[in-house]
Amino acid sequence: MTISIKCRTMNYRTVTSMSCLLLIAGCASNQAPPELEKQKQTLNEMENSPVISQYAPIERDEYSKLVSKTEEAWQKNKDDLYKHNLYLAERQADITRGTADTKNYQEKIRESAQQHQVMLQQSQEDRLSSAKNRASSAEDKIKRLAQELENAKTKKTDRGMVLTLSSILFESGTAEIKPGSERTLEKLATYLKEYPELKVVIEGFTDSVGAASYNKQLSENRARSVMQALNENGVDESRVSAVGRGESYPVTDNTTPAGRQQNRRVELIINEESEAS
Amino acid sequence: MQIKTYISMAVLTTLFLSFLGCAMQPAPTEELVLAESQIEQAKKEYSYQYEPLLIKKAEDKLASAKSLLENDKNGEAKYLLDEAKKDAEAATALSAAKKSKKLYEQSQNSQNMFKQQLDNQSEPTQPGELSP
Repeated sequence: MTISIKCRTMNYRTVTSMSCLLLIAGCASNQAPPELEKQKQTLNEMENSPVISQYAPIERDEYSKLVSKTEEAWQKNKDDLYKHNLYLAERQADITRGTADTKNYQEKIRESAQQHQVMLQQSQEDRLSSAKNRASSAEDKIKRLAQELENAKTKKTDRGMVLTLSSILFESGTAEIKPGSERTLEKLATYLKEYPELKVVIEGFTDSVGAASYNKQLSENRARSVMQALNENGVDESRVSAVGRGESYPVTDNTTPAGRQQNRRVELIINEESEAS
Repeated sequence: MQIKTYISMAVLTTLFLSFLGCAMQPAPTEELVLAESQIEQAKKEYSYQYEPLLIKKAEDKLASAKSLLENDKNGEAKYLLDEAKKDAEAATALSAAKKSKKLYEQSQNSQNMFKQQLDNQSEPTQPGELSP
């Protein structure tokens, strides 16, 4: 009797253990192979990726279908179809990733080009406004200089700001500056030293009395005299040049002494160094 | 006797039908055309430069599929053609991504150079430098 009970107990235990083993085996056989699990995990990541959702939703849907087909083939134990579908799914994952990356980079390139355009426009605007500032400041400086000098007029021309000095007087027929004009030249030199960025072209003019060639030479000599005076007063030679224009470009007619007086003049064309060069 | 006859007839019918089934699988002509054009497309877009292995795989599978078709192994050929097409598609997509990445990096580099140029230009024109 005792023996039969023991036997029965044994049988129950054996049956239980066997059942457990079978259950485990059953569970194990339901576990998808790692390569399929990997695809399911990748799909899950892609479903949560904003970049993929934005740029490759159709490709991802196709991937999802292929992963499902792969799983179905595995469940139905169709080994060849499973391997085939798994391969297609893996490539579709590449296609999805590649498409999303391409569009994402293209978008970034577009943004970068727009940014570049904005920066370019900004820099052009900055350059323009700084050029305007420079021009107006050069203009201001020359106008201030004209106010300090006696009998000086300013005029804005294509060549730059022109300062006409009628207070610089010469001995008749010579290039020698009259003593009374020295004060004007000193002031001019002081001013030019204060603004080293200003460059000056000195142009000499005469009235129409005498031969034109003589007047041309005389005007050049007079312009040179002014240049020399400025150099002597400390203005660097490289900033000043002299040209004789003779009786050309009269500002008024030469028929009256007053008219001739006005035509005998020295003009200074003043530019800022960066503009002049 | 009768039962035996029935069984043998059933077996023969099954064998005949399965043979017929194999023979009747249509040739994957459409898949062949699609795979070939996809590979051509990939090559046109210089994918060979960026994804040579995938292109090679696609070409090998296409060649194998063609010889399978000559032996009427249509089912196996269809699998290979589908895979070849996908390989070529993947090569195109992945190489396009690599090309775009390269272009993006180039655009970033030129952007940085431009910024540096602007910074260098703005240095000598500090406000107040030109004014007295």
